[in-house]
Amino acid sequence: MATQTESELKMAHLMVEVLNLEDMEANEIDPEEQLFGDGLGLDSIDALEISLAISKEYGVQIKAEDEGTREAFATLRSLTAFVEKNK
Amino acid sequence: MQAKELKCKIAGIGAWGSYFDSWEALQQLLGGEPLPETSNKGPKPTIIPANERRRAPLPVRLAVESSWQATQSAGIEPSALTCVFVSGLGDTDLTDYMCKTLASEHKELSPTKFHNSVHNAPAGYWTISTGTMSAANSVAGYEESVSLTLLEAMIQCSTEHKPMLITFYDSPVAEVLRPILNNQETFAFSLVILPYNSETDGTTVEAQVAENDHASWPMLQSQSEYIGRLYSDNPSAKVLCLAELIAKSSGEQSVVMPLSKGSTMTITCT
Repeated sequence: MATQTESELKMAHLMVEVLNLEDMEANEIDPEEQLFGDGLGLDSIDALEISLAISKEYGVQIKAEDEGTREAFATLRSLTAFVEKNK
Repeated sequence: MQAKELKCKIAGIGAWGSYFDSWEALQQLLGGEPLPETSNKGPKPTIIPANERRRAPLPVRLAVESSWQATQSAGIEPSALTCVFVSGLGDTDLTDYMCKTLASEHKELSPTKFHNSVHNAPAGYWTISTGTMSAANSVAGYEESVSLTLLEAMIQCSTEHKPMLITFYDSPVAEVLRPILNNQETFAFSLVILPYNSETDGTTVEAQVAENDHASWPMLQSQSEYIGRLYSDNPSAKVLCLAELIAKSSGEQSVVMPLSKGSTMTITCT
């Protein structure tokens, strides 16, 4: 597993908390693993929850229709980078 | 006034609370066994798919776990059962969350919490998890939840001649709502009932409704402080007065439950 940065770990904690991920610790999420589909197995409701949590925690709005949203949600690493860039 | 006689048979029972995780364990507590040293954290019914289970709040998991136990003990496919689910006040944590969020500056709601906030969320999780297409009713009856729901289910069972699942569930009430319902206990109980003419050996229950102006919930036989607290505080645990009769199963026994301000329902077990 790739090493998490400090900001990725913070984002991972947020995800584990708001998604109530069973039997998973924040530091166990591989920052390069796919969040949806075959990777972590998240789905569209999770994407909405993450967007809401990011909006409240970082003040960054993620809109479904925006270009780059799909790329941002690919991995923990890309999501953290997107938020860091836009906050 | 004397209502029409209603008779059914009990084919399966499920139960879950902080100190019991099955009907057998609840019967032991009712029989005077001491409490286990540690309490249960909360059921994780594996029948709910993983992605849905992690989104399921405690009242949903209580209801689904207890329902599953009852259908398993009855040996009946969940899809064959019409359902009635009941909780005194529903999921008060989510009611509190919805009110607080909508009254705040940032009104964006969690889609999961919004989805779970409807009163028939347990019925929805149950029917989706089991692939049940049968009707599923959801009742909220405050302190009379148990008697109203037994009446509702027994009427459906008797008139439609269908097997029914009845699930009573209530989790601790959010602090802000405790002035109207001071329940801090966790409880779920389920019954699978069949029409009276079914070929099964289960306990027969008969309900009779009558006018009565001074009805209150009867005393329990159990001397357990924990059982007493469940019974007095948790609206769904009012079913314990019936559970005691079922557990004893010796001859004909009756219990009189308040049904409304002016009526009672007598349940007789044989």
